[in-house]
Amino acid sequence: MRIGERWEDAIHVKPDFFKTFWSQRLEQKRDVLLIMGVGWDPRMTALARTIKAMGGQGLRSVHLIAYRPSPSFVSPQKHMVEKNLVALEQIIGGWATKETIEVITRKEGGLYVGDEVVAEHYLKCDLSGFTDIIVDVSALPKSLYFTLLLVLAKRAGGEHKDINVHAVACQDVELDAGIVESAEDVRLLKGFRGRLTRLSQSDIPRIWAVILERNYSMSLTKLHGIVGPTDIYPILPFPARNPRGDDDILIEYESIFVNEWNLNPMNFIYAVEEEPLDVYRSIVSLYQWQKDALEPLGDMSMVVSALSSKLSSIGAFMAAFEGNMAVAHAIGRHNPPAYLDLSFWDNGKMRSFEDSLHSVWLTGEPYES
Amino acid sequence: MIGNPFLYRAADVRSGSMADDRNFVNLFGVSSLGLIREMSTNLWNIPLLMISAPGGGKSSLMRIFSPGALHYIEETSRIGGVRQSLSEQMEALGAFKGGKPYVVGLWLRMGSEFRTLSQVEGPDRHGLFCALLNSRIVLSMINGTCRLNDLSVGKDLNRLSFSIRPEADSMTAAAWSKWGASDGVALHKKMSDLENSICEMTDDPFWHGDSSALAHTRLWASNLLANLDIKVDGCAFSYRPLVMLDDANELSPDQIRYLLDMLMSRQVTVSFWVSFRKEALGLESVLTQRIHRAMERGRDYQLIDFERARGDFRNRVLEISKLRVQSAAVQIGGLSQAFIDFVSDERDEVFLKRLDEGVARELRSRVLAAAGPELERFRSLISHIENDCSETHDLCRRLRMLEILIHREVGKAQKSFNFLEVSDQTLRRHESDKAIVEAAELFLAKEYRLPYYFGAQRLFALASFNIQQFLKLAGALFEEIMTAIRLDRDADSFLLPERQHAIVNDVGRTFLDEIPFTVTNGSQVSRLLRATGDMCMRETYRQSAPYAPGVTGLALTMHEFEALAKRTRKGDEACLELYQAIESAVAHNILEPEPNYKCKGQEFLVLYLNRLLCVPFQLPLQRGGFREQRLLTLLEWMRSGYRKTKVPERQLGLCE
Repeated sequence: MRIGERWEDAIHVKPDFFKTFWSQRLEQKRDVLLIMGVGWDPRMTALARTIKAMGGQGLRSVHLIAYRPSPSFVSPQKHMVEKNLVALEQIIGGWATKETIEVITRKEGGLYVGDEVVAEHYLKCDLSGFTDIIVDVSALPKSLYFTLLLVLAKRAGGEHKDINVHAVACQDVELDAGIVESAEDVRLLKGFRGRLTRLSQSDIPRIWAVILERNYSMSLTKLHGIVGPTDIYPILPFPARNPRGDDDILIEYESIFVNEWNLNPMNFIYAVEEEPLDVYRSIVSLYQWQKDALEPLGDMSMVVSALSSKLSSIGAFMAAFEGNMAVAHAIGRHNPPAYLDLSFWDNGKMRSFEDSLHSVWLTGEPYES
Repeated sequence: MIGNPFLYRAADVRSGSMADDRNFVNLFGVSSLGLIREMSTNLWNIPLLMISAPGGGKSSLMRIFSPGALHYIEETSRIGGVRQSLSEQMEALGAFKGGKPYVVGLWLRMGSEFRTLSQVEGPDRHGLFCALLNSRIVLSMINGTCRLNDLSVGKDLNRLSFSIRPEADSMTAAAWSKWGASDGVALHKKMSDLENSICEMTDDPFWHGDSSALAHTRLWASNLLANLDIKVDGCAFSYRPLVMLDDANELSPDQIRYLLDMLMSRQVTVSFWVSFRKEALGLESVLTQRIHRAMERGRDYQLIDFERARGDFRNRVLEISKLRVQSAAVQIGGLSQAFIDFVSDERDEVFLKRLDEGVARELRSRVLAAAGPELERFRSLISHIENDCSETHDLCRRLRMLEILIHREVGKAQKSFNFLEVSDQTLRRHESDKAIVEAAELFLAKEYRLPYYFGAQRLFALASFNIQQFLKLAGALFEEIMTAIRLDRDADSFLLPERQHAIVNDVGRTFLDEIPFTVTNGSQVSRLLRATGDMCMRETYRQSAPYAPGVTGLALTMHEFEALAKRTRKGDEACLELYQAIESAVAHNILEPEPNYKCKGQEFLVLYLNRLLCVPFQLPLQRGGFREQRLLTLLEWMRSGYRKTKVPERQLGLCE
């Protein structure tokens, strides 16, 4: 299968159709596993609440991935986390079974193992009882859900061909833009190292596609150090809700682009902000174009980094999965915007989150051939 | 697009492409080799460890010995000048022989995939680590040989042949018979396959295989390199192998211990250089510079601590800035090759312009107010200064110094009689004290918003002996220079002191604000730093300037530091938080340690603020005073920040 064919006709369910789609889907008996993260993000419970409201027959199971760097770690946003957990208990009670999966993300010496732990768990997890697995990335870090989606997508393509895996994100551009992620270390994610680190292939050109939003300067600089790209293609969000958003990004990273990277201004790519499939197609097109162009020189390797909204990152995942690309990511703490307070848990705000859900159907019925 | 040459990170650009190697060598400061030259007698015989905070220059010092860089140095040595100097220095070090590269530097960056191998348990847990490193050392040797002989790895491997000498030990010979090959193509394939198998094992969650089949019992590649004959087109290739493991801090603590044990036990028989960021070594190792137990520095290993190797830092950064400006010479019209030419250091001009009659009047009023009821003791001094000064700015400076003296005299616990004048001699002694002069300048700068952080000398000090920090500062300043040139401004208006001061303030503020996001335990480090900075600021700006030119650090007795370490090991959470903050701050050169500092019969661990962090707190840049703090105080700072306490003028533990 040529790259780009796997998800050529992928289904992206947008907010205005989300409830209709899922209520229709759940009209038939479906055994649903909802995998979600535990965190301070007020969007954490939006999907669970929405799915519960759909009703329907069948098993309902929730996996709560409770991740933290050490057993003794207490989140500085503990009050927000607890608020989410209380709300989730109210949703789950009487509706779904719950399993909490403890993920200690760091080992001795600070080694990040979150992706390894998640992979190990879901490799062994019995998925046979489910028809639909929904991964809610809203309160999960990219460093966990990229590998999680990889494992699920591969299992769904292998032993569980009839499982439908969906990735769901609650899109709030302003909230995402306000989240500051520290870049304590940078690495390639489990399952996505590609051939990047192999000395035997160090001579082949490395093409780095980096999907950008604001507030990632530190991550960008550190990632450049480990990727060591031959050429760089920043992907900017356009069209977007803020029509000047891409300009703002260019201004913010101007020094990096001009002074540190000496970037060719022709290298900028644009992908629609709220279209993960556009991100997917952009990366896949870039991959194919580079592969064709560099064929006389031999091979090439592609690296993807998603310094972007979670919705866009789903597109990045799809491209990386299909093309066996490396994914380089900066791992650190997510700090909420300074303006985030408990008013974000008001009913009005919660409803707006429920109205901002996107779903991308990754495996299962649409792809049976 | 035109780039700022100071922000280009030459060492980070991937080695391999000729253009990138050229760029790197062109920007490499030859004086940096001085760090290596100091240990040239033992350079190839015992392991060399390089430690620094991020951006210290370790990778650059390794990369200059990589095949691509050495090849370019050889090619361009005939040009003369810096190129020839580089070639000559390489010859003197033994990296060149007869004008040609002799060292094959195998520059290997330790990536996170090594660390994932540490999850294997059991006595053979280092087997995969050794296997991956073996494969990469051999592959790197093949690549390096090709590079130095102008061969292509893709097409010319069949021109290489390999054979092992009988002197190789039995384990190496056994490994060679299993993993080696005499033909370049076959050897490259075997090592590539081994590397690929291990990488797939670590990366693919669905990998099923026998990992023990891939494991190697030891790092046989080092003994192999010492006993490997290489022929290129049938002719012997003479070389000295040098294995350089960069960023060994990426390894797990267990792997680091294993590597150091191996190096120190003399199992490796070729030259080995290893670089670490300080954060990987632990605070105790960094402070004592004892990297390995029971091994003696100088005898068993060499060590370069980049932040402590300060000797010719100024020359190094001068050279680097000249090279960088040269690289942008076309853009700036070739006006000057020296960066410091653009950076105005006209201190007297600032005083001349800004310290006017109005300021002088105000200072006189303050002097009178400071003297208060003891005015008579100082009246003659005031007159003397006023009569002596013909220039207003000079008068202002001297009045400010006098104000300090008055506060000291008036504030004395044991005072003289009111009628006893303070003598001219006392004034002369006071005014000739360089620390007082500097304190007065600092106070005037703060009170009258004069630029303070400007000029080449202060720029070098602000770098805190870290190359990357210097480049960041110089880059921010150079950005302004490039804009001025584009706007065709007069040469004299390049980077006025006011602009330099403002830019340095921005960079310093950003440095402080980013700490929570850029260093390990960032928020703890930030709390400690802000409390320290607040304390330093308060102590510096005391009216009598007791710690002139200012306080820029804190000190903990070694006894209390050891108590902190002990309580940390026992699991005391508050102590752990403080210890980790200090450890991370030292590792990132945010706090500069001076352990075992002797003062008043005690030994202290002095922690100075990084010079750039002095800027947000408006502190001087000289290594000035520090203030002893009790452990309990520091713990309190971590909890609630710095709090002002009533401090008597004389305090136990006062050190200057």
